[in-house]
Amino acid sequence: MTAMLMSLQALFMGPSLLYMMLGVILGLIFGAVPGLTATLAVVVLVPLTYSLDPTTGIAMLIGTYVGGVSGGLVSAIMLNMPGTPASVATTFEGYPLAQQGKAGKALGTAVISSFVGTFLGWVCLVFLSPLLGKVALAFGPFEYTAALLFGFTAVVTLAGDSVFKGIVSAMLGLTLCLIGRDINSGAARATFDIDALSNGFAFIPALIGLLVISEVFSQIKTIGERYILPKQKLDHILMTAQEFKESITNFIRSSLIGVGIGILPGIGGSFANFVCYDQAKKASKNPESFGKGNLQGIVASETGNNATIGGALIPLVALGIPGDTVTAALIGGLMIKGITPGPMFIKEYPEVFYTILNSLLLSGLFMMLFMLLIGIRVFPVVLRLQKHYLLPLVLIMSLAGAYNVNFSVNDIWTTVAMGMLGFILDRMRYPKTPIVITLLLGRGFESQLRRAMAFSGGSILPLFTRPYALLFILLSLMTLIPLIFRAYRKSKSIKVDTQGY
Amino acid sequence: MKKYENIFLLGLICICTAIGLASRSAPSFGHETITAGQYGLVMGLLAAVVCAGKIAANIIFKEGTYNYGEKSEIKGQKLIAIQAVMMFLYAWGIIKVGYFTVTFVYLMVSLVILSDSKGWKNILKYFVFTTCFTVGLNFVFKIFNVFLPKTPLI
Repeated sequence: MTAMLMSLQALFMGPSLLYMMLGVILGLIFGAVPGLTATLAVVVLVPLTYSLDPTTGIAMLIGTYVGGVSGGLVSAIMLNMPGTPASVATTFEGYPLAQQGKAGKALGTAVISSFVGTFLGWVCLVFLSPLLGKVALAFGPFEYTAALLFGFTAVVTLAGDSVFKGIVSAMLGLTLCLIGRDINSGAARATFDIDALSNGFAFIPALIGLLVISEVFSQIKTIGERYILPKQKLDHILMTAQEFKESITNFIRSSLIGVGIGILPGIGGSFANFVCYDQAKKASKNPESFGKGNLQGIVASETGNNATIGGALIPLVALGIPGDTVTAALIGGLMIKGITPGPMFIKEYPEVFYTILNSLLLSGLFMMLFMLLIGIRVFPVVLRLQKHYLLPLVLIMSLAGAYNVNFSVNDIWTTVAMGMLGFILDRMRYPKTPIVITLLLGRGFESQLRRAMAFSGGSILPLFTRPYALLFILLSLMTLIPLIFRAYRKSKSIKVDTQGY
Repeated sequence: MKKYENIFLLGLICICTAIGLASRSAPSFGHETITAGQYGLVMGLLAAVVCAGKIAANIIFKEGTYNYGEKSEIKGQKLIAIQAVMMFLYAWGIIKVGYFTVTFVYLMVSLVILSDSKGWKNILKYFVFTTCFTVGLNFVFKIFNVFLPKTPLI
C-alpha cells in the first residue's frame, strides 16, 4: 500500500499525469477514427516515449491503451463503423439507438460502461494477478480448443434472423483462414502461388474491410441523405439510477468475461465484446429487443472490452507474457527503458508495477470525465460531416491504418477485397459478425486443435476430462441447446413470405 | 434476389472447394495426427457442403432473402461501381505512385462525384478542402511517424 501511494505521488508530481492525459486523448482520437486502432495508437507512441522517464512513458502508454479501446464507441454509435475491433458489438445497439435520436444516451452509457469495465479490470489486476496468472499457465491446447469452441457458439447467437446464413458466413471465415502459412510449420498452404496470399489475411485489415469499407459502400447507396445520422440533441447522457441498477449484473458478468478473455494470451481482447454481448442477450428477458437499441447490449460490449485491459495486463505483470497485441507493444515500451517483464517483475520493479496500476485507474477516470464533459459534445460534431466528405475520408484513413498494422502492401489489398466481400454479404443479407469471429479465432483454433490432437495421439477424451476444458464444453452446450430449441419452435410458427425477383 | 443468392452460394462452393483441395498439398510437420493438408481439406469441403445445404434449403423450403414488402432495388448502383473502381485505383496508387499524391486526386474526384453540388464555387471549395486535408495529414503522419509504402512521389 505504501509503495502504491508513493507511486501515485510520483504520478501527480512532474509531467507524468499530463502525459497520461495526453495519451488518453490521443488514444480516443485513434479509437474514434474508423481504420485507426488502439494497437496502432500504442505502436505509434512507443518511440515517442524513448526520451521520457519510465513512470511518464508507461503512464502515457497505458493512457493511450485505455483511450484507444474506449474511443471506438464514438464511431460505432454515430457511424455504424467500429473505430476499433473491440467496439464491433457496440454498433449492434448503439447505431440503432442513434437512429432513434438517442445518440446521447448511447454515448453516455458506453462511456460509463467503459469506465466500469476499466475499474473492475483494475480490481482484478490488483487483487488477483498471481492467482489468475496461475490459471493462464494451466491452459493447454485442450483448454484453448474448448474455449474457442465456446467462442464459436457466439456465431449462432449473433447470426441474426437466419442461423443457417450465419453458419455459411462463419464457414467462409474458417476457410479463408486456411490461406497463407500453416501456423505450426510455416509452410505455404492454399496460396495458389500468389505472393499476395503468402501471409494470408491479417485480421485487422480484414476487419476494417468487412465492417468499415463495406459500410462506406452501403452509405453511398443513400448518398441522397446528406448525413449518416440526422442532427439530434445529445441529451440524457448520464445513465439514470434505475438504468445503472439494472446494469449491475451485466457490469459484473461482462467484466469477469472481459478479464477472463484478456488473461488468455492469443485469444484476443477483440473477442470479448462479442462474448459479452452474446451472454447479455442470452441472459436478457427480452432477447428480441437486441439489435433494436437495447442499452444492455452497449453496457455488455463496452464493459467487456475495457475489462480486457486489466485482464491483458495480468499475464504481463504476473508472468511477463503479453495478453494481446497492445500489451506486446507495451512490453516493447518497457524493454526500451531497460525493464524486462518476467515472473519476478512485481518483485524487481515494484514502482513500475504500481505505476501501471495507478495509470490504469486514473486513465479510466480521466477518460470518463473527458468524454462526459467534452468528448461526447465534440467528437460527434466532428464526425458529423456530410457524407460526401466523410465517406472518402474514412476510406483514406482506413487504408493508411490497414498498411500500418504490419507495414505490408498486401494488407491494403486485403482491406479492399474484404470491403467488396462485406458489401456483397450485405446485399445478400448475410451477417458479417460470424465471419469476423471466425477470422479472429480460426487460426488459433486450428493451431490449438492440432496441437491437442498431437499431444493426445488423436484422442478427444481430454476435452472432457480436463477440468477447464470440460467447463467450456459444458458452457457451450448450455448456450447452444436452448438456442437450438428456441429456433426450432420459432421456425414451426413463422410464416415465410418470399418474393422472387 | 433468390437467384442471385444461389449464384453467390455457388461461387462460395467453388472458392471453398478450391481452397480445400489446394490445402492438400501443404507439407506435414513431424508426426502430426492432423496435418495442415488434412485440416484444410476437411474445412474447405465442409464449408462447401454447408453452402450446398443452403442452396438446397432455399429450393426445398423456398427460403431466400426476405423482402418484407419493401422495394429492394440498388440505389446509387452507378455511384457504387464508380467508387469501387476508384478504390482499387486508389489502393494501387498508394503502392505504386505515392500516398499523398493519390489521396489528393482521390479525395478531389470523390468530392465532385459524390456531391450533388457541382458548380465552380463548390469545386473550388473542394480543392481548398482537399489541399488543406492532404497537407494536414502529411504533417500529422510525420509527427506520429506513420509509415507509408516507399513510392516515387510523396
